[in-house]
Amino acid sequence: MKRTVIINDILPFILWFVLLVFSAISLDFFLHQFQLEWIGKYCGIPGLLLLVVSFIYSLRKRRMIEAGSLKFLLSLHIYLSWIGALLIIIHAGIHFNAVLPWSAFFLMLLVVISGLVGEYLLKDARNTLRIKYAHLLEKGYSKEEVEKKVFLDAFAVKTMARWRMVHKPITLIFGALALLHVITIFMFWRWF
Amino acid sequence: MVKRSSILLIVIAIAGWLTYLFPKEAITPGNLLEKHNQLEVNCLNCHDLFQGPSDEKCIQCHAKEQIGTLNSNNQIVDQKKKRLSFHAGLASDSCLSCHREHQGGLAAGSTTQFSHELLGIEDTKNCTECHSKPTNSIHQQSEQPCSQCHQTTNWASTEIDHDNYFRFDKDHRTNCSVCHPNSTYKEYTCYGCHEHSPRKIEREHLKEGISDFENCAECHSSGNEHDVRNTRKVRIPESRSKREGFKNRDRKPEHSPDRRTRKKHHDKDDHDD
Repeated sequence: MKRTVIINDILPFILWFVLLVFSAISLDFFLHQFQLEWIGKYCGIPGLLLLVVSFIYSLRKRRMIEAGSLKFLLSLHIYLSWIGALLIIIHAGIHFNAVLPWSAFFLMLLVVISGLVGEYLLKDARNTLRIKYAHLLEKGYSKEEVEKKVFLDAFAVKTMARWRMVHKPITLIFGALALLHVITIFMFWRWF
Repeated sequence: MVKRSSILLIVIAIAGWLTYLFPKEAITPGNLLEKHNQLEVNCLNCHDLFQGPSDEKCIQCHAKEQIGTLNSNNQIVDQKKKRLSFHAGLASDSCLSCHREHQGGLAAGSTTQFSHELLGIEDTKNCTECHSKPTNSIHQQSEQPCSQCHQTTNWASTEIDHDNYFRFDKDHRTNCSVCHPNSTYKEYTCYGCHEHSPRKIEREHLKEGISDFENCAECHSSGNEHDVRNTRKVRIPESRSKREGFKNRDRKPEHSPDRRTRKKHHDKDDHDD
């Protein structure tokens, strides 16, 4: 049972992160190696655009648009956000300077983490709770006794089920800071 | 939805206000050069809104014709900075073509992408105005303009490994001008010392069937006469060809395996001089 949970749920969650970090470091190293780090400056534009496009899922979910299946759009939301986050990590590089873009960057990471928690860890916790509940009922415990026994697990699942409470407002604040960052770039950057 | 929009607007308003109050902390990508510190209180000291850093604003303090002569406070600059006076002849007014700011206060990182094409023709000839003359023996002996060996587009690749052309041994350690008397390193002569004379060299080579012997280093890679680059065909002189009955006048150079014989010939020739 433990092995299945790790392989099915925890491992993909960790792998997504490791892959994200590894890909960002590798690409950034490649750009620096070939003196192409200037490309990193411009990675922010496609990165942010991909994040914006991935929000089609949110529009569809709130029935602001009707086209597309929810399942497909959720996958699109996850993959586009992942690639967008990758490009923005490369864009940020290792240059810790201004507070505004770095706050936006930090919040973006929180959005990605909370999104992955919702996608993988919550699903796992719910399955575990369901199996445990059924197992105790099979053993002959009454419903009330079972509910007492799984109280802590149920509380954890209930708490994790509120991941959206973190994911959504942080996404909103991230959006606001990213927008300000873009505005300040347009105000002070010389493009040509 | 209204609630979310309100939150968004409130966050933007607060963050925007803080950015306005603390621009250095909020948005500057790196510290300015130390001498520009007083400018960082207001981004518009150097930037034009929605157009970025302005060359005109740089020139307000750093007039091109004053760079290297007077500083931004109209004081005379020290001797070391006089080499910067080439700015007066620059073809372009674009300071940002070469200079970058917000590099974390590092002066070394503030100059990038310099192009010699921006310089006037006269300034491109005065390399030592900006570059220090190398101290190695080749450069110290040379009185020639840098452009004889170097190009502005590819400086490093002109480093010469003399061994690729001719390896020095104890008998060939001498001044550059002995072999390069016309002050050009693209040409050389081996007749600069008494050891080699045209008459002697001609006689010795013709004896070996070698008629094309003007470019010594093409075959001789060092002072050792047996150290020959054995790659080119040699032309047997017609007289010898007839005398020795060669059918094919082009053949690889032959070097006697009997070194004693060659040495003997060489010694004999030496006495001739």
